Amino acid sequence: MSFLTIVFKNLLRRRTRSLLTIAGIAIGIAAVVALTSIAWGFEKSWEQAYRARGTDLVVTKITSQSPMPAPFNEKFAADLLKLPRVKEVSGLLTDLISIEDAPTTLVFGWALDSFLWDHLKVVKGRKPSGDDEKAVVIGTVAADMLRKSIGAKIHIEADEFTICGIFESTALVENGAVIMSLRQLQRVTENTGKVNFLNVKLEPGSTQEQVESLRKTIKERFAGFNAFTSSEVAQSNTAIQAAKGMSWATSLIALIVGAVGVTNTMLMSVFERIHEIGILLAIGWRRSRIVRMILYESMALSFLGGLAGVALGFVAIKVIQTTPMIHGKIEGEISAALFGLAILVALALGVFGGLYPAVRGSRLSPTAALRYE
Amino acid sequence: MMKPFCLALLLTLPAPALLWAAAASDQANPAATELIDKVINARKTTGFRIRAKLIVVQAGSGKRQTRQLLIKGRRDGEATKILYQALWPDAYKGRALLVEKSADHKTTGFLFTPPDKVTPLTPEVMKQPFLESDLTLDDLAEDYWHWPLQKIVGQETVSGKSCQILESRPAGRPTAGYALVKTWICPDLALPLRVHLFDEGGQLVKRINVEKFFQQGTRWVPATIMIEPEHGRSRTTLDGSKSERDLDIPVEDFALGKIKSLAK
Repeated sequence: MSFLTIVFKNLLRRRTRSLLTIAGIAIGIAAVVALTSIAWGFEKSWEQAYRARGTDLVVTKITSQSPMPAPFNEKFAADLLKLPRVKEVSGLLTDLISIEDAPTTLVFGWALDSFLWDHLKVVKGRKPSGDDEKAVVIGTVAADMLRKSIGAKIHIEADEFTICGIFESTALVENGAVIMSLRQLQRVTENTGKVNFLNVKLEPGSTQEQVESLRKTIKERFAGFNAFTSSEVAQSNTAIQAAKGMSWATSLIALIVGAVGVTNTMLMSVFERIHEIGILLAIGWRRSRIVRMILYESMALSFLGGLAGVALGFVAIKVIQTTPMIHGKIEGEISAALFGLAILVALALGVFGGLYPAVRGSRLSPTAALRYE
Repeated sequence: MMKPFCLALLLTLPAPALLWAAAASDQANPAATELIDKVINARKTTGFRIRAKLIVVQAGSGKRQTRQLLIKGRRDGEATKILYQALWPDAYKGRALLVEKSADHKTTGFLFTPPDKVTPLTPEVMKQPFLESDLTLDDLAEDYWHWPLQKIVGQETVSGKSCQILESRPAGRPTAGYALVKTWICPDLALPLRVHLFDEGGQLVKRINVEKFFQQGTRWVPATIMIEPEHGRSRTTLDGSKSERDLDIPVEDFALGKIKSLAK
């Protein structure tokens, strides 16, 4: 009988217990998969927003823990335009605003002639026609959230706007937003002449080295400012960091519960097999081989639990995404990397959960173990 | 010296009214003075702007009504101005309450109702509810920490935080609607987490609880505040959405002309 056959036969001896342990691990891993998928999806959505706008670099003022960067003078865009390889610079103002009875909503102010509008698909109506028009376009998700349709009035801060269009974007985060002309948002938020992001478009064919060199120039030449790629902006977003932190914290709790379950199962298994382990030691098995046997058993349980957890997590994400209240607001990131990570976490769980029982089993005295009834 | 603890402390999230207070009253005991000063010092600022949602929920029907609020404050030496303005819905838009505190603790100001009605703040007016919520104008204007009798009467855990209980009593017959105010203050956060307001008969009139709080830079500030009258038919939640401090709010923003312009 091979070593691995012994490992699997041991697990099959107590099928119900093994299945329950696998189920426990599966639930923990499913939680990891679902929560991490949502956090990654949130991050990807922001990243997509910048990519869709055709932004190569995003320049912001470095601020502390505020969810939105501090506004700065929009004339800074002209200084950036003078830098090598910079083709276009578009300033925008972004704010989180509590609108009427709805949850806090992302509001963008974009210059009406900016390239930022190019990727939006206006599915109904039109975009604002001029800086003086008190009109906004809203994303499809925002339309649901605010319960508004085209032609309706919307109160933003102390002003009343007309919804002149409804748009769709490839970026989920924009679909939940309200967009108006930059001048209007500057007026409404008392930030006249200010923006808090500069979206930079580079000459086509710019190499990675040239992008890096430009970033360095911006940092050196303009104190207090920083330039990020779209994925870096998403990563540095405090809301995304909070979402990731929450997902990891919740996952950690689920994993601890899973690890305790594995330890308990393996410990019981060791206690039930004291006599048997004594025989194995007596016939010449090394203590390290006993450790390996028990660790392989716990890792096999965790691996199977991991596979089941990945499947369960996948189903959970799909169910969450299709729930009417959540539909369109959350987009889970489902990728091979996520599933690979989940399996690795499951295996680590098996190692940690099985370590103590393995050491305990390997330290048994063969004579005492053989006498054990 | 100003000691403007009024309920604006809680209502205005980063506690604007507290911001400008100096030392506590002469008749307050030293521990109470120290505690009040700690909270006040943690909130000092030149000016602030806060956006919040006032949500009134009827107890029986569960009917919910929301008002969007803009709260601004400014300090001029020892004098302060705090302006509460309703932004939404249309039925309330433009209504405003201006509370001015002079350096010698006198409260003046007015209630503005569009298009042109200006009502000075008298003791009778102060008993009115603010925007038909469970808050009275008194709640927003009175300086309980300016009352002469302040003492710490105990310690209790609120929301998992160890708090000291401060009792504030007015001298003689209360001019405000309350005869006793108990405040549960967490010294570690320099933040009040609970306020109970009592009438002259010693009956509890209203409870104010900080439901959520968060750290903003080095300061802890309330994010959601619940106001529950003891025998009321509704409860009110003040939910902050944005808070900016250390601003220079122009003095013109507190002028009647500018206040009126919001309603147009």
